[in-house]
Amino acid sequence: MLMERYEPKLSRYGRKFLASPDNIEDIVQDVFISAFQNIQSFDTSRRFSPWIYRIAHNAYVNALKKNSHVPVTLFDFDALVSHTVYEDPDELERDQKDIKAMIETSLEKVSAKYKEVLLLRYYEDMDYKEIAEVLELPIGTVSIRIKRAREALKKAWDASGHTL
Amino acid sequence: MEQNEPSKMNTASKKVLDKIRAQQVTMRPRFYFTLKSIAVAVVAILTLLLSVSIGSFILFTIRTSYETTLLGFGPSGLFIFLTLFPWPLLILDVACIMLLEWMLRWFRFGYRSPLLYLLFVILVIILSASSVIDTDRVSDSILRGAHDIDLPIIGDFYDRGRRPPPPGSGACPCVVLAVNGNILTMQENIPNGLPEQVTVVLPPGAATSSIHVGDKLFIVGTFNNGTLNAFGVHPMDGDNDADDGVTQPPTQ
Repeated sequence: MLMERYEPKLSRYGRKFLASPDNIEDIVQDVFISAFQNIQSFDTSRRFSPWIYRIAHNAYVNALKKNSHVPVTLFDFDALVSHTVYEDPDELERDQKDIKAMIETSLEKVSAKYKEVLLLRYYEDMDYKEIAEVLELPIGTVSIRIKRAREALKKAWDASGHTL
Repeated sequence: MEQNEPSKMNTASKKVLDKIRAQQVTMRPRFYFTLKSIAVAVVAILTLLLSVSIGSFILFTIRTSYETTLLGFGPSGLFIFLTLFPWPLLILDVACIMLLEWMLRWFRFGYRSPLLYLLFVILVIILSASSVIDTDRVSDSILRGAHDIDLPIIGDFYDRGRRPPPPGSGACPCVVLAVNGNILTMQENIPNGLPEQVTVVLPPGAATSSIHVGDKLFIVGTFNNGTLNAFGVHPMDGDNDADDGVTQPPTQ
């Protein structure tokens, strides 16, 4: 039941994140195996979605590192200090469609650390708290990273000559 | 596809279910995760204790070796201080702190905190605990233990920590054997490679009237043809080395 529900979601997340759908099925399979093996560590008082996405995130980052010819770093100086959290639901409704359009065409041009927050936010519809749980980052860092990711995506979109 | 499986079952899900049914993958028991958490917590506590021990030992070493007084002797004193500082221990301590920070991020409170804030809290804890241990009462009782009851490992470690500066460093914890104007004849407090008697020329204007035979002084200067031209003199507290086998100068 859970696998049936999450397989399309995790596959979509992986395809967008890795941009090489060759072995997505194998990775998703590994994610489910890992989830099954570690299910007893899941805190039932919390939501399941961030937990399984955390496993998927680790698997995709490992795959990215394995397949990349250049070192992949997800370190962020924004994780050093705290930032004010600003989550505007109205902004999400207003811009979600535009950002999804940008993601479709320009996601490849932004770095991996921005890719993952954009996908979790605008494709998986997670709130900042859930993204913070998936990426194991302070919520303020997630907030500032999403802001920077949107700017980077917009820049890539503009540079490629697209218009909304 | 089997009849009891959902009709929309996808490939990866089906393969995983097949493996589970064939018992090729098994669920880890809850106590495995409990033990893992306990193990990480225990290693983190041990790392913290090790870091505090190293920190207190660094403070103890530079205190009992009078190296902090070098900071009051200008740029030359600062240079000698940096030369004598136990850098390998500091590097080891920094490594412990990094390891501790990494382990704490395994816990929810760890990764929810910004890196620098977590590091700040760790540093405050380690420095506070190290300073408390380095108070005279605690570290000196360890030192006495090293002498009196042959305290294993820690005592030996502390006993070796009171290392005299190397002969070429320009720093000399010495005992005054004779005073002749601004020239002193001195002997190393703990023999460490200098000649048996060292001639020390004090800087012009130094208050030599307060220096007497038998005084223990921490002299800092530059060696020139066997003579130590001092640019810094600091009286040594006798409490720190009361039992260290100091050669007493002949009475005059």
